[in-house]
Amino acid sequence: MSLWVDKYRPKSLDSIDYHFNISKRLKSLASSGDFPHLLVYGPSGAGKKTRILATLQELYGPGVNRMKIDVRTFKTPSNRKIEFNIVSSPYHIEITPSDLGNNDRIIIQDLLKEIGQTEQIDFQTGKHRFKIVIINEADSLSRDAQAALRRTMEKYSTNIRLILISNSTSNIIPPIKSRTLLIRVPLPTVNEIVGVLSKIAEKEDIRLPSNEDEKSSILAKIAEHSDRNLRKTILSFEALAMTNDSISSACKLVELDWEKVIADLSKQVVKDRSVKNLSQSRSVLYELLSHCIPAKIILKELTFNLLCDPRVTDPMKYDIVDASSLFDERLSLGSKDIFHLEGFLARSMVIMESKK
Amino acid sequence: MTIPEETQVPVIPNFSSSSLNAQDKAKDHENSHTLTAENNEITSENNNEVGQKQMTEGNPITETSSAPSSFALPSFKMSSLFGRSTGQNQQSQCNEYQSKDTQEESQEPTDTQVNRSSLFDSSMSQGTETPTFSFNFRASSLGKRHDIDESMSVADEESQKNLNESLKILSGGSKDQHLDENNIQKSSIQENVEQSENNENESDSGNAQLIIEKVPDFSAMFSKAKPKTVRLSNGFEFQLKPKAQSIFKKSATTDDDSPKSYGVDINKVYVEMEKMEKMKKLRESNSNTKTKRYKGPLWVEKYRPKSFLDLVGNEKANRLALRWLKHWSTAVYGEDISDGLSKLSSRKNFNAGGDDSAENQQPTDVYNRPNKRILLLHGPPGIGKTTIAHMITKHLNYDAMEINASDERSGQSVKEKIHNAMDTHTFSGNPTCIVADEIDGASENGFIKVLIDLVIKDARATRNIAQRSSGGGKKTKSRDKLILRPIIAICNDLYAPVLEKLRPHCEVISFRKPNETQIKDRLEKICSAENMMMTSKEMSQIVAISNLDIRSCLNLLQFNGDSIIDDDMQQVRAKDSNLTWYKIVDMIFKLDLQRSKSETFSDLQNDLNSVSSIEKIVNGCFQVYPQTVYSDPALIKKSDALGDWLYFYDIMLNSKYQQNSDLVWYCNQVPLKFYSLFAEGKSTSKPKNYSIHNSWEYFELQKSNFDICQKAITDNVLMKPSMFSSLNSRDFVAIEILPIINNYILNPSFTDKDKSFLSNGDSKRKIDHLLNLLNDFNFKIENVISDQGIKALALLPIMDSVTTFQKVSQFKSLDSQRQTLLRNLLFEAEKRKRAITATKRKFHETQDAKSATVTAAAAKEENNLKVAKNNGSVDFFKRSYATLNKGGENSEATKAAPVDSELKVWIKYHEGFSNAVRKNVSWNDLWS
Repeated sequence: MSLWVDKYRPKSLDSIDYHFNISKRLKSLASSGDFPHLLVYGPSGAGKKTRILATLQELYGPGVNRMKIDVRTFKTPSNRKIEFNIVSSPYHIEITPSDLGNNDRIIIQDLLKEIGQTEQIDFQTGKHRFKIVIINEADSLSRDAQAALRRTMEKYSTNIRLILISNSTSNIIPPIKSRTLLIRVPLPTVNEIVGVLSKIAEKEDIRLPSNEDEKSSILAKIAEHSDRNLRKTILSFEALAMTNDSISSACKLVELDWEKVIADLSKQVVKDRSVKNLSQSRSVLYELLSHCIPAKIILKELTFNLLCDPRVTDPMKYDIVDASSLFDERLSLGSKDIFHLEGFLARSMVIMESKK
Repeated sequence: MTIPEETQVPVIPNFSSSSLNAQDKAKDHENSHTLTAENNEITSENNNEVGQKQMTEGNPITETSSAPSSFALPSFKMSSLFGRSTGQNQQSQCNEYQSKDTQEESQEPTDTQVNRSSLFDSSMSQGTETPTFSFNFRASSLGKRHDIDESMSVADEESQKNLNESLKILSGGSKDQHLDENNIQKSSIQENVEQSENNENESDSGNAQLIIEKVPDFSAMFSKAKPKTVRLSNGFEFQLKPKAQSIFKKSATTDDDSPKSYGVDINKVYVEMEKMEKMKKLRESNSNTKTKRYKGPLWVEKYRPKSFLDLVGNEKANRLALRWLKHWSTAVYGEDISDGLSKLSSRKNFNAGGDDSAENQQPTDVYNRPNKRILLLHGPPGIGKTTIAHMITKHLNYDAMEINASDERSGQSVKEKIHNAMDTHTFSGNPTCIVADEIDGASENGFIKVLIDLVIKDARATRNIAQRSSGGGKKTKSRDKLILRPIIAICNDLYAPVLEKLRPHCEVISFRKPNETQIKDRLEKICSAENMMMTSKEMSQIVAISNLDIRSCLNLLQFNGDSIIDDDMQQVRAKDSNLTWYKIVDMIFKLDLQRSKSETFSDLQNDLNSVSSIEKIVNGCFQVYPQTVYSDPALIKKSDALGDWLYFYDIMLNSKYQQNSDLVWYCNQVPLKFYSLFAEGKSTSKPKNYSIHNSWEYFELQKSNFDICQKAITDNVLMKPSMFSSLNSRDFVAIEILPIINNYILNPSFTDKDKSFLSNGDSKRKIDHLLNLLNDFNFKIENVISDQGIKALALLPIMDSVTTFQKVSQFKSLDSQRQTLLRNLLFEAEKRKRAITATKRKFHETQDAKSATVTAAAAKEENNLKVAKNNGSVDFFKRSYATLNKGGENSEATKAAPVDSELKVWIKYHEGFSNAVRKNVSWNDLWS
């Protein structure tokens, strides 16, 4: 366990440091012996996966941690072979169907049916006969795949339980929502994060300011800087610890390149509202996209950067948020990211120009 | 291209413009042609223009010595038109051309190329009175003898008849020719003619033989002209044969143009006159010909080439195909062709598979069949692929059995059909040859698979036979059948995905569009047969409209004969055919001030509806519009409006991948928006940059980065399943994990750089942490040679392209900063490995009951390592190794030899080039 994110991941429900009521509910679910289908949702870095793995541990004991990775090949209808990674333990199986784009339906159909049709027998206890299937990024499942899922969930419910993990429920079709128990995992508060970080610092022997106030203010700063995303916070905390001997308020916070690029871009947009600038920003957008930054994240960052800009007045802000949501929809409906990102820039330039 | 037009041909205004056109056209040719091919086309087109010029607009009154010497076989070899007698200078220039061209094209000379040089007319005028000879070289490698048709114009109807009957249609000279009869000149052949000739010999040899076999003896036919033999300085022997002149051009005179004019451009006048006369005749005959024309069979069928020599263009491909089929003669007829063919085919031997190495590997076939059992012809529609296939089968007495898209082509039925065809005889007694037409439309699992199976089984059977004949083979009961009948497959698109697997098993012969002159010659012949009058200009129009498709030429001629020159028609037809996406993009951003905006708008709409590459057009527009100059009162309103339209486009286009693809149609409207927004007639001076490749570049980069992320997941994170389950999202990897790891965590700072890394608690901790990381993520440190050729340590996999942005990054020279760190890490890792091996060995040796000594040794070793730790960082290796060395007896070889009092350390160099000196060097030599 090398990265701290991994190293200090809580293994059991009891050792999770925040959202105790969720832990309690999960624990009682696990202890009841039976288990509904779950849909766990919440922003990234809130600890969804951690909680689920801890629940599995609660349910099945430490055997869950004996995980291995299989590579399975599937055949698409067009006879193309696709490879697919599956993480599995004796008790559960974990898949990320969205890796396959439009072919995710095949995985859902083939794999789940296959698992569903074979019954698990536990000779020792005679209970927990079901196997758990964790589906990551359920919100990016295609409609077809979700439709394939809904009947499977009912038909094979004696043999499998599904745990869907997603960032939001908006992309999940209502029939699936109605078949699952929804659990929302919100982001931890800043104070909770500070607690986690100081725990880590203690174990890792990181030199922090001795003054308690100063220390917590720094940790809070780190947490806020990473948008309370716990994974990101721990990662950047580790980065800080590596680049500095001791963490103090003088330390430069971790700023990622792509974030900086977007910040620059938004500054440029506010400053110079012209076609020339638009075509320049196009190449920046291309560069961002080519660095594998998802278009939606670019749009989100851009919007927040624009909103935070002091030159943007309040009436503009309403319109920018409006435009942002419009283009966010376009991004999800369309497929040509660059058109819509540039469209958003043009629109926000127009907004700023008209509300001057 | 630098054809010296001025010197070759006396200046004719008409001509120069038309040759320019030809050049333009060649330039506009889609990039499907390679550069050389394009060049070639330009030359040939020019040449043809020239020749044609002489034909149609030549001045009947000649005063100079330079005169056209030959017209040969419109249907068969257009390029003899090329033969003009000009001054020596031009001639040599031309020759240079040809040799150069042939070299460039030596891999696969196009047909026109072949024509031009194989039927090369060389001439050299030595004075005004020197007669000209025109040679028609026929290369045959057999005896290195060249049959040369001596160009002679024999105005003799009878001889012409003879010729037409014979396979080799030589054309007789026309009666109208005034001066040609006397224009026979003596010529000498220049060195470079031989060169190009030699080149030709290689590529062309053998083909000629087939034809020549059938050529009746000319000397018998032309009793007055005996073949002459010319011997060159290098021993080459040519035979000069008489050759007749073309008669197909009744009205045209073939005299060269006069360089002097009589104040009036006589060519122009002549052409006008000719045209008027023709039109008059046409109109007169209109009443009866028109009705006649619509009756009777389709011309396309009526004038489908009947013999090998009726074929238009692609001469080389035709001959290759014929030769391929001829190779089957042994298998099918039991003929012994090996003498003739194998000797003939020095380079392009089908049996040899192209080169000698293949010949060595592959045993020659018992039946002497071509190595590739299937012949695959491909080329654009309407140029006679099916015709040639049928022609050659007929020519060699096969019965063609055609399987085309109209037939049932599912696997089983086609299999039966093919087996029936191959195993049985027809009533006519001729063997069958399977012609699989339109094969690119066949299904991969049906027809194509049957064919591939056939080939594979055949290969196996052949091998068995070969083994048996060589004696060593065991007799296997196999159901594998030999292919004993030729199979010819025809397709338009060679690279259709269905053909992917078949292609390697096929002898591929590509057909190209014949050039204009070739088609026109053929059309002329048909016109004269149908008693139709056409000027050559009209003919050119037909050819242009039909886009060099002979079939559609004929259709046009038959049903549209008179109204071809109609402007509307031409516009309509032309528009349908050839509009490339960038031309349309150009049109979109151009405002024609002469025409009203709505007019252009509807024109554009028509164009857009007829093109298929709407995606390219929209992308092109999107790339281009920021570069255009336009007025926008509200600054960026227009761009904003565009965003909505692009969204519309995106949604419509997406429907392509869903059920209702009819929405795609509406995409065509989007470029019109570009037009209405941005076309303002202010043309930018700078050329537009269709930087579609630019976005393509980004796209490529994105793909490669995706790949890096994916690899990082599978190769690095995957090592630990537990890690995989939490860090498996590609997005997280790209936006959080990799950047932080690469730019920060693996880039730690040490405040106490000068002191030891290892003594300090903090640094030690960091290094340990890093080592764990490297281990867990399966990162490697290796020597990598950078683009600049500098060898440096680097962390693999290289993630910089994902994590850093060149513009803003503070981590520009990440790896150079990292050098010391990486070196230290390497050292530490090595040390740990040793510690592990040491403990392992310790374990072994305790088992061997040598525990006492070994613990001592281990203790000592630990001591040594401690010493190493206390050493500085700069010359880290040196000192630490030195201490190891001083520690002497306990330092160990990497190959972990059993403990010995005397140990040696070996250094192995993995990289570098010097194999010259290899010497064992001891540590003492290096460090003391």
